[in-house]
Amino acid sequence: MPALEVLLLVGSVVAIAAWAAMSVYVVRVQRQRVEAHALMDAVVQTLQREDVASLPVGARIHHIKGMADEASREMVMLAASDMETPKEAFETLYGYMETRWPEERLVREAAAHRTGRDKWRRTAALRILARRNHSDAISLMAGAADGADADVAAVAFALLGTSDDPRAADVLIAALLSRRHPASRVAVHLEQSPQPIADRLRPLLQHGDAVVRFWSATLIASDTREPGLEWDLLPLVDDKDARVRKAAIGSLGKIGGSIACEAALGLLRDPASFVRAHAVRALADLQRTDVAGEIARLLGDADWWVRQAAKESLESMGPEVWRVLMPCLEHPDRFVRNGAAEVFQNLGIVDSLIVMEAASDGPAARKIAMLRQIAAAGGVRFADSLVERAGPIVGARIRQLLTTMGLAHVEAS
Amino acid sequence: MTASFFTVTLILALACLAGIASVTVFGALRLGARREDSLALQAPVAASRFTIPVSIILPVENPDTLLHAIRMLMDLTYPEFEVIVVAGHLEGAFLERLSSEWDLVAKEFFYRHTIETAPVHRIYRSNFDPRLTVVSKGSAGRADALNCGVDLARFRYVCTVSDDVNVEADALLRVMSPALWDPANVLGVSSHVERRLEGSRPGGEARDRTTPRRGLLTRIAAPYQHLASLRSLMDSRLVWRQLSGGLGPYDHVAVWRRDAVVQLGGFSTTAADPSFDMMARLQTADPSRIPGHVFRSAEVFARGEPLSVRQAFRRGANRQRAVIETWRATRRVAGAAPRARRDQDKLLAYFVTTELIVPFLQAWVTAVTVVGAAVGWLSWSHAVLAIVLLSFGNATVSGAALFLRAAAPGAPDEIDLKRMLLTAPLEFVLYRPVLAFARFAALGGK
Repeated sequence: MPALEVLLLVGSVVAIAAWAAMSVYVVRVQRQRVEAHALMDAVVQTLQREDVASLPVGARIHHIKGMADEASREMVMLAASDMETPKEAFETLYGYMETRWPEERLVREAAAHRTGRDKWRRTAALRILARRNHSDAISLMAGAADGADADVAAVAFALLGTSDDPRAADVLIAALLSRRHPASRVAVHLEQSPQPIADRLRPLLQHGDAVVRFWSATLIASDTREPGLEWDLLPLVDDKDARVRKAAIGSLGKIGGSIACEAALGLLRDPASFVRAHAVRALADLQRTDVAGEIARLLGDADWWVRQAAKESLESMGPEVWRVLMPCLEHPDRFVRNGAAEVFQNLGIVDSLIVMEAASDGPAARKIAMLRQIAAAGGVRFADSLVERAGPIVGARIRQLLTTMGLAHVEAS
Repeated sequence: MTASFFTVTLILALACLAGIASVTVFGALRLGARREDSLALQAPVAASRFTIPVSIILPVENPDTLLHAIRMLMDLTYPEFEVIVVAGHLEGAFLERLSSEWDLVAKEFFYRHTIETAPVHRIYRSNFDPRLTVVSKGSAGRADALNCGVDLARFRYVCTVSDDVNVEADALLRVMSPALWDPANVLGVSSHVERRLEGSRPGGEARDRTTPRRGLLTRIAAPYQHLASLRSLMDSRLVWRQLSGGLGPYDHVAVWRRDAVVQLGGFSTTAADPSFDMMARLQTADPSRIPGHVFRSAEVFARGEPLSVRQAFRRGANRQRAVIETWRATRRVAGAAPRARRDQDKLLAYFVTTELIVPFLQAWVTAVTVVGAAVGWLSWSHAVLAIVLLSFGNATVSGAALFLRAAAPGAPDEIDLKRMLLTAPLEFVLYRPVLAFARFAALGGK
C-alpha cells in the first residue's frame, strides 16, 4: 500500500518537524524570558548598591542606561510595577522610562485595554502611576474601578486601599455604591484604607440599598475611635433586611456599651438564624457573663449554627458560666445537654474536677453528682475522651470512678 | 476487503488525531506565554477579616507523609482556616507521633451529622494550634472521610487535599480567589497539582526526608508523569477558557461550597474518584436548584511526587472508571434549562473527546498497524511509521503544554525543559502502554 506508506511517511516527517520547531521555540522563549529577568534583576541590584543609591536620580539613570537599554518596555514596566522594588530603584526606573518613552504613553496604557497583553500593561501602568503619586493616578484608578474588567478593578481597589490620597477612599465608596463589582471585594480594601472612613460611611447607613447599608454597618466598626457610632447603628438593629441587622449587631458588639448589650439581647429572638448567631457572638465580644443564661438558652436553638455560636460564646466567657450551664445538663433536649457538656469539657472544668476526685480517697458526693451529670450528658465518646486525656495512670482511676458513678457503658466501650 | 476497511479507519483515526492535536497546539500558542494571574495585590486579601474562612479536609492515605502535609497546611498564609485530618483507626505509634508534635488531646465535639458516615471513634484537638482537628473513625474509603470532614467543617467552603502534595504558603489564597471575588456564584474551584520529580539533579529542590526512595521504573516514568500532568493543566486551561467549565485536571485540589456538597448528599462512596464525581454532579445539577458555577484557579496549587508505576497504573484505571461513570451519569441528567443543557453538552463532548476518543484512537492506530503487519495486511514499516507519527505528534502537544507552563512561576528551568522536550517522543512507547493497559483493565473490570 504505497499510498498509505507515503501518507504515514509525510505525516511522520511533519510530526517530527512540528516537534522540533515547537521545542526550539519553547526553549528560545524561555531563554529570552530568563535573560530578560536576569537583566532587570541586575539593574535593580545595581541601583541598590550604596555607591549608586547615594547618587542623584539623573546620575543613577545614567549609571544603568547601558544595561536598561537592552531591556524591553514590558520588562522595565514589570520591574517598576513590582511593589518589592526599593523606592530609590523605582524612582530611577520611572525616570529612565520617562527618558526612553513619553509619559503620556504610560497614562494612555493605564486608561484602557483591549487585548490580554494590553490588560497586563494597564495593570502594570496603574501600579507604577499609583506608586509615583501621579496627578492622574486617582482618576485612572477610578476609571478602572468603574470598568467591567474584574482583574483590572481588583488591582485598582488594592491600590486605592493603600493610597494616602483622601480621594482614594471616596473612589472606593463610589465603587461600593455602584455595585459593578462585588461589594465584599471593595470592602476588603476600604477597611484597610489609611483614610478615616467612619464619617463617610455614616450617611450610607440609611441608604436605600440593603447591601450598601450592610457593608456600611460592617465597615464602620473598623474605626471605633469615632464617637457616637453606636447611636447611628442602633436603628439598623430593627432594619427590615436581616443581613443589615446582622452587620449592625456585629459592629455594636465591637464598639461596646450598654446599648449594644440590650440590642443583642433583643436580637436573640430574631427570626433569622444568622442574626441570632451574631447576637450571641456580640454578647461574647462584650464579655457579658451576666447574660450567659440567655445565651445558654440558645444551646437548644432550632438552627445548628446558632447552637454552635452559643457554645463558642459561652466558652469564651470563661469558667464563670458553670452555674448557668448546670441546669442545661438535665435539659430534655439532647442538643442542650451535649452542648453544655462540651462547654464544660472545653473550659477544663470536667478535667480538673475528675482528676481531683479520682485522686481522692473519699470523693465528695456533690462533685460526684456533678460529674455524673456532665458525663451522662456528654455520652460514651465524651467520657472515653476524658479517660484518654487523663493518661494511662490517672485514666484508669477515672474509669474506675466513672464505673462507680454508674456509668458502666463507659467501661464497656 | 477487511484490509481496506482497516486502512480507511486508520486514515480517519490519524486525521482525527491530527485535527485534535492541531486545535490544542494552536489554542496553547494563541494563549501565548503569558502568566494567567493578574498583578492584583494579594496582601490585603490575605490580611482581611472579610476573606472567607475555609475548612481544609485531609483524609489520611499515607501515614508516612501525613506529618509533613499537616505542617505545610498549618503554615498556609490565609486569615482564617481550620485543618480537619480524617484517619481510619488512628492508634499506636502513629497517634503518639502525631500527638507529640501537635499536643493532641481527645475532646468530644458535637457536630451536625448532615451526611451519614462510618462511626467516629474519637476527635482530637490540638492544644498547640486550635485550628487543627484530628478525627479517628472507622475506615470506609476516601469519600467517607471527606464526608466526615464536611460534617465537622465549621466554615462555608471546604478544601479537599491529598496528603501526598507539597503546597506553597499562598496556595489557599490562590485557589480561593474566584470564590473571594464572587462567593454567591462559586460552587467550587479546581486547582492543578503538578506531579513532578523534585531534586532530580544538583541544584534542584531537596527531597523531603519522608519521601521513600524511588525505584528505577518510577524514575523512568517520572518525566512522563510530569508531561502528562502539564498536558492536563493545558487541557483544563483551554477548556475552561472556552466553555466556562470543565472537569478538572488529572491531579487536582478542589474547594467546594459546603452547602452545595451537602445538598448533593455528599461525596459518593461508590464513585471511582469522589472529587471528580462531585465536580461533574455540581456542573450538571439543575441550576434552579443549585445555582452557581465551578471555576478553576490560575496556575498551580501544589506539587506532588511522581507515583510508582503500580500507583500510576491504579490511578490510570481509576480515572478511566471515573470517566465512564461520569459519562453515564451525565447522560441521564435531565431537567436543566436548555442553555445550561447546551453548555453541559459541550463540556461533555470535550471531555469525551480528550478522555475517551483520543486514547481510543491512539490505541486503535497502534493496534491496527501492528496486527496488520503481523497478519500481512500491512508492512512493518507502516507500523513503525504510525508509531513515529503518534510519538512525535504527542510530543508536539507536550511541547505546547511546556510552552504554557514555562510562563508561570515554578516552571522547569532550561536544562529540565530541554530534557523534557527531548525525551517527550519516547513517552508514547515507554509510558503510554502502561496507561493504555490500565484503561483497558478498567474497561474490563466494568
